[in-house]
Amino acid sequence: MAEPDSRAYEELDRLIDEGGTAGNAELAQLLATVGTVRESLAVPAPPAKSSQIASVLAAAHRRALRLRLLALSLVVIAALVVAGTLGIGEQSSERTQGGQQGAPGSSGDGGPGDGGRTSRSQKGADDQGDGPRVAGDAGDAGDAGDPGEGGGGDAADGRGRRGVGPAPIIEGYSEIKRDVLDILGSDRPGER
Amino acid sequence: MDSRTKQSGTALPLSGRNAVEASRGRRSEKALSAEELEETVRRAGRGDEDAVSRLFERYHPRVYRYALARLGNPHDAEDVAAEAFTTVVRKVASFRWRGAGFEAWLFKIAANAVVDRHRRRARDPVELREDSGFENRAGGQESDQALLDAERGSELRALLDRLPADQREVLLLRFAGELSADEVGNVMDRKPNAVRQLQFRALEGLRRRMGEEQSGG
Repeated sequence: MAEPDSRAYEELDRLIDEGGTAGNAELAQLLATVGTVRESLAVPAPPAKSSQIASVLAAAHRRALRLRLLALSLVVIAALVVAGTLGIGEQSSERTQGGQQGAPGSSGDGGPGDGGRTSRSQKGADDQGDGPRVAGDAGDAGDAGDPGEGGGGDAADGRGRRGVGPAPIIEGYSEIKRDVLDILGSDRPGER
Repeated sequence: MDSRTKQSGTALPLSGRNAVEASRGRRSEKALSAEELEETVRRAGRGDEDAVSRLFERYHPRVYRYALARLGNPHDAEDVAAEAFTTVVRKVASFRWRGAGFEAWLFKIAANAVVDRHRRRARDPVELREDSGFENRAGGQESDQALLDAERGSELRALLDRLPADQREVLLLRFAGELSADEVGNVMDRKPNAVRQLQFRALEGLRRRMGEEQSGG
């Protein structure tokens, strides 16, 4: 049998899709075969079992829930990022104290007191993650010791105290956190 | 109007009594325009259960018929159809309308599910094929004609099974899955013209074998 050209393939395909009269006997026979194939495959599908529909819908429901949770998480993360950027989060509530005034020297001129050392703020106690660390202010330099009668006065120990900050305070933070934990079903992250 | 609903108007010497009806192109489900389909798929991707139900209602019969033709077992076909839809729901949010349409994507998933089912069967040979599912399609009518149709259908499916795999796949996707040649090409990763060629040869081979069966029997 001669190999049909691509026009015959396309013509047959068009007739299958659109209908019409075949141009030659061979195509007509092939169309007849199409009718037979369609007839043999035209099996009425049984009504889908309720369990099948339920499983498909459950999958859809889970997807919707996941998307909502993801959106909520993104909102919370965005809020935390914004708060961190604005510096609302972790700051020491107490400023570093300056050095104390040096004790009067027993003799001689009193030397100047050392400046207070820069303190570091402590990490805010927060389960949601560390915020940027913010350096405490440098302590003020200690005052010079009073002139003494004897030797030089001791230098003031201007050590600043370590700032101890409370947990970061964000408007509505606790509420958002509680909502997220409610959804996650645990009061501890990582225990889903 | 769907172009597939026009009649071919061709004589059907080898077909049964419903062959004229069967030779018509058909889309048995309620019409859904391309825009409606896209919107429905998008909503399904957001977990909209109504949209998922609509897709299920529209495509389940076609996926089931395709799976049944590939597997020959109604229980397996039902399972495969359900698995395919569950996969669709799980992945539909990541589906993108690039080239291949939703139907090609769906049938690719169904084809993969069929392959998985074949593998499972190979691992578990105890699973038997009790009935083909095609025999009951007369809906309980036990007329001679219904029995004749069932027998003829059974013979034809045996002939389909003897076709080369790619030719058989084209016919099943085309006539059980009701996909166009372009969509079949997307499912099989072939060019549309290659699909048309396979289709032509498959029908030719089928017609020849049917003729041999008739002259031999």
